[in-house]
Amino acid sequence: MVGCMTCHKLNDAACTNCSRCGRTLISRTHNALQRTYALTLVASILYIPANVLPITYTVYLGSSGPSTIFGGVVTLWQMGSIGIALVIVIASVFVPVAKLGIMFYLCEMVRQGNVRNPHQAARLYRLTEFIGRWSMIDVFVVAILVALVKLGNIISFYPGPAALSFAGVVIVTMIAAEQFDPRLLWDISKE
Amino acid sequence: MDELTAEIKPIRKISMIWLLPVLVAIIGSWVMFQYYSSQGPLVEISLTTAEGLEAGRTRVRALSVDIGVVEDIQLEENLEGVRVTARLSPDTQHLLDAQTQFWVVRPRISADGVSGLGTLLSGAYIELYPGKSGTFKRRFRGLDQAPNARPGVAGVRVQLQGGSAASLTAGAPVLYKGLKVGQVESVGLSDDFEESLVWAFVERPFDQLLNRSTRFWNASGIDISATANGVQINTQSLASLVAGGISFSTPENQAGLEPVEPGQRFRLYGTQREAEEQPYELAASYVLQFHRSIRGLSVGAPVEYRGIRIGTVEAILVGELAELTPTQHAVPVVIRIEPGRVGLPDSQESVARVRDMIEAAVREHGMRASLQSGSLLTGEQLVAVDYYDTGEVAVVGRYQQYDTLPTVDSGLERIEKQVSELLSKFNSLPLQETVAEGRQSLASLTATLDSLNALLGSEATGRVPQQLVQTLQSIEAAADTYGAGSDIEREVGRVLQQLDATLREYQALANTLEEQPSALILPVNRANDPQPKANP
Repeated sequence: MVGCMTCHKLNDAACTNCSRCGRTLISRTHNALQRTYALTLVASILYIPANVLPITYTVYLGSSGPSTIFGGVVTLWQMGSIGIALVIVIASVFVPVAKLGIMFYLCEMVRQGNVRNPHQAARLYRLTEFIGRWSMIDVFVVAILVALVKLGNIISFYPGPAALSFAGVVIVTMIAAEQFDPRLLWDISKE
Repeated sequence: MDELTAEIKPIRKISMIWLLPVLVAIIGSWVMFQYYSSQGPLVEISLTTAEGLEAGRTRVRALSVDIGVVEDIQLEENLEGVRVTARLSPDTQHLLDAQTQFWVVRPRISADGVSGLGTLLSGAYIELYPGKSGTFKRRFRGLDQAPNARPGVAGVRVQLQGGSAASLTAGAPVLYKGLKVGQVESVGLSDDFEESLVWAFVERPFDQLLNRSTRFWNASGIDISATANGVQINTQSLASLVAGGISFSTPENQAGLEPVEPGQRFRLYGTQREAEEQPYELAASYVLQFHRSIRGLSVGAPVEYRGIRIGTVEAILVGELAELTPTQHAVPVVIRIEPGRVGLPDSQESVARVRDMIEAAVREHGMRASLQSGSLLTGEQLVAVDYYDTGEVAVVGRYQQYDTLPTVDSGLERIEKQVSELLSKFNSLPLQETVAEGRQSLASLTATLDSLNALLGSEATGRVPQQLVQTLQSIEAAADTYGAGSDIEREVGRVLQQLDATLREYQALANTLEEQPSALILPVNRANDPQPKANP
């Protein structure tokens, strides 16, 4: 039996197309592991400029300066806003890194064909998929600040190259998670 | 319906998806490269204070063009200043090298004017003056204030070392004939703290006025001098009155010597008079050893040759007095003979020439130095050099590192000597014996007088007046016989009357002879007396 990826109808394994919606039936996503791996790698690469380059350019009372994510965290920490600093650290450093780590972990398990605890692995995967859309906080904040705070020389924000890069990290990680075929986990663990 | 045949394609082992990370890596690194290459250089500037500077706001400018912004201001670890980090615009790398200068432009009010007013509103900014040496550098020491000479102005920078830099400030003008041709850049002390050290900048084309023999003096404030001609007050420009100033002049006969090099050292004299009294840099120094008091001789006194000034007394080696021995007791005086004073160029060759001349003159023609009184009133002394026919042979000797000129006594000194010789001769006269002889003579004189007295007191002498009276009486009687009414007198009277009558007759004869000399031989023919009558 093969489940349709689109309408979830169960078809006979001999069928090539779904009897209801006509989509090509595939038992396992082709090259899923390689795609996931490659996309995770892309996300990791994008993560470097996302942190190194400035995410916003701030103009405040005539003085302007670029600020990176980590620079912002340090500034907030020094100013005493430890809570906000922690939120930013979690949202923009901890979460993406954790996601990339989980993806690499899963891929590596599948590649080596050695899944010790498929339930746990599946839980990790679902978690990754779930968090995915919520890790765009930084990008959202930048987008909102840029759009809302426009007072010329008094105070303004301009997006930096890192914002784009960071959005890229989140999107590519989501695609990577999407591309991962969790059935592979079970395939391996059954053996 | 045809049997469906499966087209079997081999599964590619490596997915095309792997191109994606490669692509992203390429794009990502390109973006990063772009970002960093468009950043421009980051420079660190050490300053003594960050007054008016603000991270993120303060600009870095070159000739008032924005080329960067201060990113960060940190205290130095030792709290001795601040370290300012500034991000410059891209393509400013070539401006940064060892000669690059940074300073903070703030509003500045000085005697010379108000500058940097623009910064009152915009805030201070950091000015950059690019260097030209070409080696990239990213750490700099900022200047405390703007260099006074505007960057890029051509000219020459000279060091002036002198006694007092009183009332001289950075930014004070350098004057030539009262006109501003440059300015004082910094005023400080020399490395050994002994003298003041002033850096001055003379702008082109006025740097041509300078040469090795140029004299600088402090033209600050007011120079008041009271002389026999009255009171004289000299001032330079108003700015130099307030901020001080430096004047210079080049002796006319010394113009056209080799030009100065940047950083050349000159003496800074206190006053114009002082500077002009010592207008020659090079001189031949000699030591004179005087065997008498040099009272009245002071440093700076003239050295003259037959009344023409040829040099100056440079020093009196007081320190050497400690080493004097009873046999070697001359007072050493250092004089300098300046070739520039006698029309020779102020150069080493002239000094050598003068040395040769003096050596020959001393050996062959008896050139000597002597102390002479410059003014009898004040007792000032000067050193005179002249030829003396002393008969002694002398040569130029050595005294420590100096040559020596033989000395000779002269003038008053000689008179003094002669007087003293006279006195010593006088002293050696046998006065004692002379006086004793005189006394003896007087004693014999007294004896003579005594015997005379005895002679006068004798009886014979007493009779002399009586005899004298008798003699006179007989003389009187004799005279009476020849007196009036005596026979002799009458006889004489008669003879005289006869003589008178005779003479009268001879008168008539003489008259006749006068009129008619022939009357002696021929008879006398008298003319009738003329009769008065009227004309018909």
